[in-house]
Amino acid sequence: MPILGVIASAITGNLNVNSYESIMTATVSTAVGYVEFTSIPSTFTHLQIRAIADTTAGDVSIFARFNGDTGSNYSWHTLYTDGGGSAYSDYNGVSSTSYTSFSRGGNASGVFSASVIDILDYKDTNKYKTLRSFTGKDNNGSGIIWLSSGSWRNTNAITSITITPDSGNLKTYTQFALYGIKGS
Amino acid sequence: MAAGSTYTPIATFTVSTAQASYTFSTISGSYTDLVLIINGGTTTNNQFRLNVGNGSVDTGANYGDTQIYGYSSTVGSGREVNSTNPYLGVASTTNSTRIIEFMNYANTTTYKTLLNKGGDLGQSQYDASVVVWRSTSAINTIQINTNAGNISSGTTLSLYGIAAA
Repeated sequence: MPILGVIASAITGNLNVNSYESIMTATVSTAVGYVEFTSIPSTFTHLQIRAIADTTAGDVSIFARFNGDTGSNYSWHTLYTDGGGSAYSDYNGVSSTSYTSFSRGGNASGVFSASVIDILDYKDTNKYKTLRSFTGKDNNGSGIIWLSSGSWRNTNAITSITITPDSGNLKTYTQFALYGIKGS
Repeated sequence: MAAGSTYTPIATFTVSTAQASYTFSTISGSYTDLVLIINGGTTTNNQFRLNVGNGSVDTGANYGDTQIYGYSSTVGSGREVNSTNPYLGVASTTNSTRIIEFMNYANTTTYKTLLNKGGDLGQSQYDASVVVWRSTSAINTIQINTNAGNISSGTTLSLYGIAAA
């Protein structure tokens, strides 16, 4: 079964590009507190979000919640660096109220963070939902890379995704594009 | 609603004789993101590098990158500032695989940010990096090269376009 995007490195030469479809895109024209994908169709197997983003509040996380759940039902782990020679890790094992590290703010003028987020088996009602993300920004002298994974401990199908910065607003020109990946 | 297939092959090149670089030119601006998959290696233990541009590749000091890597049992990170030829990760005569995401490559408002992940068996390293090209020009030219030596024969470079709704 082909899975595209960041997973594709493992299956070079065997991509089934007909299985990847654009669902909807949110582009920020005026700074806003959040963007939300609603009525996500259940016709796919996995979801992928591709983003460029920044915030008005500087270097803060941009996080996500599913189906409007604000409870302590999320967990996440991350491997990250600022490029200074070391690598670090961080986590919230059980009690997070959101999946953090969806993207990141705090960019130099003209720079936007880039992110690719995979949400696996998003409509499977037998599983908690698992996701992973790859976010990076480089300000030519400072930067950050986040390689993260996490879960939403709920078996409901994901039908909406809300994306919000920790503080401030999403800057103009931030864009989140939602794609669906079909199974065989 | 979904807009149909949006992951489109643009071009694939297979290196027949080892060469110093390969350039994708006149790339259409009709997609939202580009994805480049490299599967192959280099003629000695080297690094894949790249340049991008509009009309021609930019070799000025207009790039920065931040890296994270795991090498054998060691983890670490690094960065390059005002680079003329940013780092894409190690490569060797043994198989290297790499995927590079060119996010919102055609817009003329923002600097361009690239995400890169890959691994190399010969140098026992897995790495990820983010590269910024400090230009608001659309990217329509991508050159993959190395810091020394050549790209090995048999290496494939496959370029895809992803269009958002």
